[in-house]
Amino acid sequence: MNMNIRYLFISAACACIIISQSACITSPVTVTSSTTPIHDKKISSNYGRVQGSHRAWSVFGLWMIGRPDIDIAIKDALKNNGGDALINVTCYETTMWFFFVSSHTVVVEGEAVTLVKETPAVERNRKNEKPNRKK
Amino acid sequence: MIFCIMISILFSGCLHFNTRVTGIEPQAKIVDNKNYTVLGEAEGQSSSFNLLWIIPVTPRLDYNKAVNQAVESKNGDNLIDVRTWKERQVWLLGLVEILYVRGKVIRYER
Repeated sequence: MNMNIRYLFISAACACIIISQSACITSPVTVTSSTTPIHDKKISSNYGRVQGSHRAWSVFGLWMIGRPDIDIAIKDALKNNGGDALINVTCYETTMWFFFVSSHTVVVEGEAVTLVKETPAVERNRKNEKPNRKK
Repeated sequence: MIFCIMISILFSGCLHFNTRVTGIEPQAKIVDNKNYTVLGEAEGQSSSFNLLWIIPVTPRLDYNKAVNQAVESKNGDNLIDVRTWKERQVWLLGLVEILYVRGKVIRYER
C-alpha cells in the first residue's frame, strides 16, 4: 500500500515537472488574399481548405537549427489535394518548449485552387460586356 | 558567472540566433501590366546592426531595398509570389537583423 502511494506521488511529481517545463505559444504572421497574383487568371477548380506546415528546432530556445521554411509549408499544403496556389491564406507560427529544446512551426492555411490564365480574347470580351450590363 | 561569460566567448560570441517568417504577398508592387514574363526565382536582403543591441549603427531594415535587389538581380520589373522572413543574431557586440525577400521576378511586355 505504501509502495503504491509512493509510486503515485513520484508519477504526479514527474507529471508536474513535465507540464511545468513545457509551454506553447501561437502568434499570427500574416493574412493575404492569395499566394500568387490572380487578377489575370481564372479559378478553374477549388479543392477546399488545406493546411501545410514546416518545423525547425532550437537548442535551449537560443540557437535555431535551420529555419521554418514557408515555401515548404505552402508545398506541403498543396501536396495532398493538388492545386497551383492558395487563396484566402492565413499564416501563423507555433512555438513549443520542451525542457532543453524548442520547436518553431510555421503553419499555412488556405483554399487550394487551380488557376487558368485568361487569354487576351476572353479579356476583350469581358471588357465589351461591361457597358451592356450597365444599361 | 565568470565561467558562463567564458563559455559565451568560446561560443564565438553568438548568444542567440533565430529566424521568423514575416509574410506572404502575391506581389511586391502593384502589377501595372497583365502581360509579363516570369524570369525566375530571386532573393534579396537588407540588414541592420545595433551596437550593444540598442544603438543603431546602420540604416534600418528596408523592405524596398530587399525587393529592388531581388528584381535587379534578374533585370526585371516586379516581384510576385513574395515570401519574407527575418533572421536575428544576438552577438556579444550587438544585434544583427537580416530581412530576406524571395519571389519570382517578372518583366512586363511592352
